[in-house]
Amino acid sequence: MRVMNAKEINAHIRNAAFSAVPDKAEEIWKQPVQEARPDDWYLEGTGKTVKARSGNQLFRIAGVTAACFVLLFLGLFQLFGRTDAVVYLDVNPSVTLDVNRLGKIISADADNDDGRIILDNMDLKGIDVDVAMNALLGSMVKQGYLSQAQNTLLISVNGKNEARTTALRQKLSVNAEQTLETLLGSGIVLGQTLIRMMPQRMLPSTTESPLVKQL
Amino acid sequence: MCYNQNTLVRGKETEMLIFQAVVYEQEPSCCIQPDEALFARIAAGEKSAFCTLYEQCSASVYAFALSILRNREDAEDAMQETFLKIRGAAHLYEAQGKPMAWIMTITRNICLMACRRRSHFADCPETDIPDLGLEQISDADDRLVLEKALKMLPEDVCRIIMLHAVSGMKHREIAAVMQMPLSTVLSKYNRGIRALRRELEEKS
Repeated sequence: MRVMNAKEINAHIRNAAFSAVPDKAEEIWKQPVQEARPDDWYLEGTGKTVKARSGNQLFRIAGVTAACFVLLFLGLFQLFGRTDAVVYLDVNPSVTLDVNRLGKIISADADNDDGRIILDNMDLKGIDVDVAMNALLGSMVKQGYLSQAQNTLLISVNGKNEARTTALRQKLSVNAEQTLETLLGSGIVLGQTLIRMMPQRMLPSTTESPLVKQL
Repeated sequence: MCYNQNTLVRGKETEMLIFQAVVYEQEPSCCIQPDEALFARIAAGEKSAFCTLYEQCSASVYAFALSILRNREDAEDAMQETFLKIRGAAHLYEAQGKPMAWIMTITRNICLMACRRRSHFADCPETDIPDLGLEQISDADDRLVLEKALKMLPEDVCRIIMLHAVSGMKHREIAAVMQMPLSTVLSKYNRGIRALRRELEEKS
């Protein structure tokens, strides 16, 4: 037998089936027939199941769509709603800023009474962290917590991702130095980066902050 | 005699293979789609309509039954029962453009019931197939290819090849009848054809 391709194999099978099938049409026609009902076992899948499968498919599509929405929501939450870094501005007034991955403020809280005076009901939510820091430094100068005699600011950034946290701290330090220079003529900015598995709140001036210990 | 192979309507169709990576020689297959109006005529008791349907579909039903039951006599019994049930259920047929799929679904149900009955006595399908009893096929090559397909291919692969080769059903219709994803049907079909070709090459 020569080598066959798929078409020839199919043709052989088809011819074999046509040769093998017996002619029993007459015989079957003579037999008594019982009229079928729609729920007879041998009709399963002929119509109803097709509809049921369509329903299943719709259910599956709905499930996949819902999963996509959940993933989208989680992605957006990761970008906008979740704290990516915590920024502490410490002079004597201490202020803590929760920042998302896009560098926007999620929440701003005072850590002591002086910090509450500085915040003075400022609504910083959704504002860029460097803009918020400028506003806070302005308020500190205005309230007398920062002056030419007392011009040292400690910036601590606590985050999970080392690269992002370090970049944020450097950006804020440069920004703060420029702001203090504009407002006071000069300023000293001490910066430190704290890497944590979860960006958690802790006061760097009162806990294990290595820079504070060193100072 | 009702059965006459020459009266079969044969057309050409092109399979739309969307995501099958390895597709080879997807030939236009023999397309046998019975006229849907036949069912209403059968329900009305018209014998000629039944004979026409039998002519057009008996080989497909028989081959599909053979691929499940792997025994000539059982396949004949299943085919006979299938056409009896079709006669009884013709009034329930709803025209959806897929008469062959409707018939093959009934065939599958009847064969699986036969398997369940047989499983009280032995495994189903028969794992050891010493003799399929296909001596009535006069052409040696036809018989050899069919026997090879029935003996060496896994049951589901064999069913897919039978439905495609004999009934001319499209792969997506086979997927619906077999309740399998289209991609699975395509890969099983291609694997089966490759295995058959290899086996026949060795034989030659």
